[in-house]
Amino acid sequence: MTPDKRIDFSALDPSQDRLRWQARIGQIVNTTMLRRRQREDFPAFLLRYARPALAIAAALALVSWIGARQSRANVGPSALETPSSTVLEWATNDQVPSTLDVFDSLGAP
Amino acid sequence: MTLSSSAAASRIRDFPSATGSFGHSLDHETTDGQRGGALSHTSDLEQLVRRAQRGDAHAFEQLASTFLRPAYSVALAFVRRPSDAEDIAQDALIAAFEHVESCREPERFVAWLMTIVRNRSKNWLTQRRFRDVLPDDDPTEVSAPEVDLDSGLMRDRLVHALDVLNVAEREVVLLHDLEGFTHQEISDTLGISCVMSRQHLFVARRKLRTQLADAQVEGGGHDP
Repeated sequence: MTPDKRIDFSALDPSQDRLRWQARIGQIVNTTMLRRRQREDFPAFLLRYARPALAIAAALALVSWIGARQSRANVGPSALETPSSTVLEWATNDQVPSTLDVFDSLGAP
Repeated sequence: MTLSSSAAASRIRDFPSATGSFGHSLDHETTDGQRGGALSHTSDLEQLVRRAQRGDAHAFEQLASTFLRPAYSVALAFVRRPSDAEDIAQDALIAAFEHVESCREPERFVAWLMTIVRNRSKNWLTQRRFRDVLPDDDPTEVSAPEVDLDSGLMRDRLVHALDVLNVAEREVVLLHDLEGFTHQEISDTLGISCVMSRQHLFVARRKLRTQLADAQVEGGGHDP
């Protein structure tokens, strides 16, 4: 169906100038690598510092949790008493508090 | 599979490092004229693309060596200015390589790449309407200094002759006669049937011969 002879397009063939053509290929590869590296930089930065940041955050959380727990342990039972709990205790034990106890527990006027 | 044409053989000589299954340029010529080499199947192109997806610079170089010229031919079919077509092909390859991970079917890399080239060429044509001082149908451009007068004249004559073709005919005739693609490869690349490819080639050659009647530009081998 097609005519036998092909058309000679060699005048339009840019690769005939081999040096220029190879330079173009080199430019493509260099630009590609450069752009890919730049694109990968930000996620790489995040990846690089995400782990240390998480580790520091975890260490701080642990320290503050231990500190809070110890300070709670240091607080004695009396410090946890409130006026209402004292009054409740007197009521359950049928205990009649002295005036001094009332002032101590509920606060002097 | 035997080498399909002298153009194909020439491309092998041109790019001895180029490998892969798509087309002749990806293969190595053996002494008995058979296709051979480490990357002579579709899976080889696939592997090459996968290596590129992992950021292998050597794979990019192989892909660029193999597909820059077909990309140039497709761009030339659209813009009809060789130096602009070279720039578009280069930009398209860089863009494709930069986002090569988004090529989900590496075995269809060529079609994917040519879609990028076509889109870039269309964008370029749209932008040229606004910015260009030269008329749209004037393919004359400043020749590269290293191009001698004869080849410059021949180039201009060919570019003018290509004007009588439509884009599809230009794509087919350039891929076939300049790149040495087979109709099957053109079909895979451009997403048209082999029959349509043959028809475009037939019409394009006939029109071009009429246009180039006075010039002795015919040569080369026979149809594969």
